[in-house]
Amino acid sequence: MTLLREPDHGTPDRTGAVEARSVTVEIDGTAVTVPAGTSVMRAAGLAGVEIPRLCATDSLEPFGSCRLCLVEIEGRKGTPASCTTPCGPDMIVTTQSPRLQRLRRGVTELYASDHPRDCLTSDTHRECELRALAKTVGLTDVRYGTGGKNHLDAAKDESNPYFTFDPTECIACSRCVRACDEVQGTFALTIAGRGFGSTVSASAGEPFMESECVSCGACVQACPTSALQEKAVIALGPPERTVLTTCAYCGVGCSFKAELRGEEVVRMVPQKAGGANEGHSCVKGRFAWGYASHRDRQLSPMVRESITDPWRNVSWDEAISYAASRLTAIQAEHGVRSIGGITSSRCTNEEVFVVQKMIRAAFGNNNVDTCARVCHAPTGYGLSQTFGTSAGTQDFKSVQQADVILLIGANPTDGHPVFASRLKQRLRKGAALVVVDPRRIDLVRSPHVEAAQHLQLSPGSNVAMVNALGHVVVTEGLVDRAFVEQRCEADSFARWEQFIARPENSPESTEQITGVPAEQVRTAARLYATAPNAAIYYGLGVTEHSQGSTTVMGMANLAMATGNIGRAGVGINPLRGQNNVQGSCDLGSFPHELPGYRHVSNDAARQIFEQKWARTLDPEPGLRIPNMLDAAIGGTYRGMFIQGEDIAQSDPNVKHVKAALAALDLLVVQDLFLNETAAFAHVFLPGTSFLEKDGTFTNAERRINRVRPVMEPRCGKQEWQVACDLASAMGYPMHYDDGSQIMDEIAATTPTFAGVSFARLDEMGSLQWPCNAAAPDGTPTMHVDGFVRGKGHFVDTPFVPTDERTSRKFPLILTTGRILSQYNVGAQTRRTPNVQWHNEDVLEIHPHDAEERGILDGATVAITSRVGQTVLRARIADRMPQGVVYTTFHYPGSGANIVTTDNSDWATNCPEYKVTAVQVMPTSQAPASDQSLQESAPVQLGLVQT
Amino acid sequence: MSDPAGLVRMLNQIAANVAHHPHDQAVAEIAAHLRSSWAPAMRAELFAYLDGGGLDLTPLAAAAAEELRAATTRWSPA
Repeated sequence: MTLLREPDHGTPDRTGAVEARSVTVEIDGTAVTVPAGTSVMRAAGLAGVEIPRLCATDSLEPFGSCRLCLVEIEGRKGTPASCTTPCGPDMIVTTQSPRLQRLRRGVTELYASDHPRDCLTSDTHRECELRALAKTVGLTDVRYGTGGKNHLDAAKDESNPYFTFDPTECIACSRCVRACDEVQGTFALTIAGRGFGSTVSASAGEPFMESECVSCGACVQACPTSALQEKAVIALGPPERTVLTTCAYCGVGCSFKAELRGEEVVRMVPQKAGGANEGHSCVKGRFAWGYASHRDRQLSPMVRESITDPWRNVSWDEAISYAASRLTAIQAEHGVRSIGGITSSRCTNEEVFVVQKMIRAAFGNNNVDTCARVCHAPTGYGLSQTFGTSAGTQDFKSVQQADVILLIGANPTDGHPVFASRLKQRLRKGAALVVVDPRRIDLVRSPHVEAAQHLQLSPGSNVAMVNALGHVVVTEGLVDRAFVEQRCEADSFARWEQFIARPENSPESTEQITGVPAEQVRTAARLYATAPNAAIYYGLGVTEHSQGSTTVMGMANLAMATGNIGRAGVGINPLRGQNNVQGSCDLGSFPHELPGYRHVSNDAARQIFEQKWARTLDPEPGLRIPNMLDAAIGGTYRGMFIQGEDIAQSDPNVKHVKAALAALDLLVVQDLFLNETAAFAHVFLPGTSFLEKDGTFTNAERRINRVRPVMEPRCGKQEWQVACDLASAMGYPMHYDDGSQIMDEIAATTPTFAGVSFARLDEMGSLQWPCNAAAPDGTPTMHVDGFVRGKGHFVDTPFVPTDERTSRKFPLILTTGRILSQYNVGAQTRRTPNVQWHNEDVLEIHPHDAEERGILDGATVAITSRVGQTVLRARIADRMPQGVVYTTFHYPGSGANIVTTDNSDWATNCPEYKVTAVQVMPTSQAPASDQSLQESAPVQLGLVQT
Repeated sequence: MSDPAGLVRMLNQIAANVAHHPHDQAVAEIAAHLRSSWAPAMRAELFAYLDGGGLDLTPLAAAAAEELRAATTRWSPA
């Protein structure tokens, strides 16, 4: 595709913004009907008439500063700005006249008089809208000369690793400032000074890198000139063609335009037509994609006999044949269930489907699991018990209609930044926010956002809190009886109503568990229950607990009891962690479920696959990841295929994980890099980055997005081809010509995907499952007329405390999470300039806890739990509650998961990352100085054949 | 798997989370949960642990494990 320029009608779409009224206006003789409130500029654009402009773009509210979009309106004096003038009934507008032409030329000339002259000629400035405007108005020369006062010697700000601010190019149109305010919601930029002295200022006149800027790129995208410009564009030149694809970081799943010059990616620009992000991005998706060409990429298959041997580069055939023969030999000696594998939620639906097929059909067992085991498995369990399906109920856009938002155990400004921007937009328009989190996350109070309530509960007390909210709903007569009677089971509701009304669930009783004053809980419950539309959003702060599944069911109870399910603006919304964790769960990555969440013991479901795959399938559930690890140590599980997961860094109690990996007879790792897990591998199969993949990702709103290859696989094969080759070498031939054939097989076997194909995705842009005959264009909102299971099922949710307790020896609770600039185990983001924001994991500790232990800000501290110890630098942070400490796990050397325990969710074994009892004490050790915690990649790289 | 402690802990935890139900219902629910989500090797190891006395299982967990064994015998062809 040539360079895709998405239409820009200058001011926002007003459809649905005001009452459903429309007006008809005549623009240059053409009649056009638009929603009331639409600007003349936008109406003109819709009528095919482009009005010149510099300060207007349709992602921002009109501003009216550049004075270029002037028009004449019959019956009105002067020449009003078309961007700030709403269409009126029967308005007659003229956009072109000698007077308007003269005015526009004059204004353009004034702008050009203080703008680098080479802008009109240099290829770098090809995208400058002032340059294009000069051509439009016929400006070839500036009459004012160069002797006057100007800004042409102003210094550039090159502090940000990804973009430059060149004030000489700046026309002070405020588009960057408004993008930061209106789109991103960070309010990091302003126009400082007045008149001629007006200049864009990051925070209080600081370099961008030192300011509050979060480097989302919205300002760069909004800038009409080259004042804010990607460094890659300056270095490589403007892009020439576009490939539409999908970000491979978090579960928001932003659509991007990969823009290339020749074969080289110049930049990633968020796609306005993208359903999940609608033109916005974060620092990771927008800029942190350079890892795909990082020198650490391993592009050759490698094998070795023992994990202490040097790696030996081999051909694909040799690597596949070696892996296949050893896996087959293990099965011959130890049984068909002695091997298994892990699919990757970083990979496409097609890749995941093929790997689980390889395990079920070629390995002949159900020993397949995925990283959802360590993040949102409780979501799957809890929502399927209550609603009948394992997925969030809404699309992201739904938040724009929410009046009250209950945010539990999620930190979207760091974890799901593009959704956070949407959320903040809604909050600035008046929706109320209730934050339930031990930490004072940014959304509790940040510019123009303040939570109505922050229920700062103790870690591990989510169930007690959700029950207390439910108690208030029931005992204060706030149940939506009509909804419950019509949509939910009468008997399970009656049981739950009785259970939740018990005194032990009252806010007054649970206050001892949660630490949150009862009146605050009552206020929050009333707010949620009485809102016209109330929505729950949650993250790993809910699921990664020993009662994660219980909390999910408790939230579902709340939503059903208050009638907040089945329309826009409400619902239960899991903020999924990885880009394709929804898809990997959908497509059979769990050991007890075939694609489409059908149990392996379901004869009818199994027969569909047995017929298609011509293999008898195991009707018994396989091993979950923690079970695989235990069985490896026990000697009954001997061979493993791990696709794109680094369990030796990401999973809890990594000492145990590493012992299990070391016990395997054969470990096959497929990845971009020699990660921590690969240190225990005998076969390394190179993987593909998202820029090379050809398939689909499914995001947290069940949206299936195309991932299109920007380049050929650098290792020579798509990952699904590798799985097919391995299965074939093990005696089960698997072959597809391309990714679309795999999606066709998914559609043929999985009812919720029945209407999905690459052709339909190309036509529609994206599709949200269920997509089938009943919903051919997909399903943005689920459970509209009824629950998937029929009637909604209430589940009693007693609070069962975790076994992990504080004690005199371990008096603090450690909770872990992630930060904006880094992503999970950091394999990608650590290999980008994002390290400039976060170059080590630190331990956040409350000032009182620090003082009590003599810990100064920046001091090194030893963190000791019942299972291990690590050393980090301390950061004193009053956003932490007393008694709770926090760290991230982006660097292998930090060893956060040396400390976390084996405790897990009772129903799904999702690890309890959020509650580990620890002691923190000053130490003279350097951070991560223990050699056992050092990143293994350098050692492994030393073993690679050069 | 050779160390049943992990399985015992998991089963006791499951039992604790459904203990609010009437006993027979809780036993049936736990057994169904294990049947649906535990691999055969895990169930076999649990039964072996039961044969050894099952000392660390809570009474509800032990009852559920016995129910699972009985049901497994019913499900499996002779």
